[in-house]
Amino acid sequence: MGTHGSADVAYVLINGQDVRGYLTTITDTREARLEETTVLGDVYEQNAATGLMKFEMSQEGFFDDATGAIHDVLSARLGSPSIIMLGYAGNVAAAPFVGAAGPLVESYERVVKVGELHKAKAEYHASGAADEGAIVHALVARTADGDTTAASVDGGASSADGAALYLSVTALTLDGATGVAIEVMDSADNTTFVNLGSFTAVTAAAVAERVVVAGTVNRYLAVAWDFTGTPGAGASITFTVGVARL
Amino acid sequence: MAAKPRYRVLRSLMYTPAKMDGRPVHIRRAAIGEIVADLPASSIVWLTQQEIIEPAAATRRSRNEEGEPDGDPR
Repeated sequence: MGTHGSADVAYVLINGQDVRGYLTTITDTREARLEETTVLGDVYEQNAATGLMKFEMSQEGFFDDATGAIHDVLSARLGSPSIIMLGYAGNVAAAPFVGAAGPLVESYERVVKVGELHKAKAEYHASGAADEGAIVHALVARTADGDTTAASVDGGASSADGAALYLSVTALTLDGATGVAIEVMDSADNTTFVNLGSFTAVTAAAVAERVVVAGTVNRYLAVAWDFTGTPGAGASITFTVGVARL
Repeated sequence: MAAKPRYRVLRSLMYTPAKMDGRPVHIRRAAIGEIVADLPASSIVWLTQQEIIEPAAATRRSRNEEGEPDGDPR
């Protein structure tokens, strides 16, 4: 952990579509909702936490209406829930990420000014959870079955309250395969890994999913992926997995 | 040589088997319900505590208590 800059941004994934290359600013905000409890006799205003949390996100960047570019991603999602993964400190295992499931694209603006490139802005309001966790599988392409047990992510200790598992798939070529099964595994000793949770089999891109698991999450985390069916030499999947301990 | 303890897998596993007879070892997967005898010794305690595996013999006893047929379920 430490300071980070714009060059460290690994990805900004909205339902599996990476819009990092169009953005200049992204802001994510968490807020604890308070209620004023000031009564007669108080000298200073009093507030109490209601227990309700709020997540908001906004983004600004360049407008691009090519297929799969920022305009496609945002204009089609007005009022729709999304799964967002923001890797703000490097595209490597153990780097932090922010995940959010359910944020609704509330507004989408196209800004046109004389002498400037067109810009695009969007705001999201929470309609679900926001999580902070660690990348367990960086956003990279895989062309054969594999796992990261030899390079697991060490959480330092186990935790007891479950986890939110995030998957974003940006590209997929099945080439004979019927899909790709992706699972998150945990381990207490970094030797034997156990299935912690599985995502829905991936059969198309771009897609994203958030899976919540309960109970103990052991200290070490890894990801395993398997092409099902009979994949040819051209089979490939580009995906990232992040885990947020709850 | 005493028989190695056998365990029933209750949640799917991935591990490098304990070395046996000097043969090369590869990462192995074990599915739910599978009986294994080559788990790394260092993993058995925590796997048992977290009810990820259980002694295969214990399972057989409990099945007998329920009046099910005797013998190895495989």
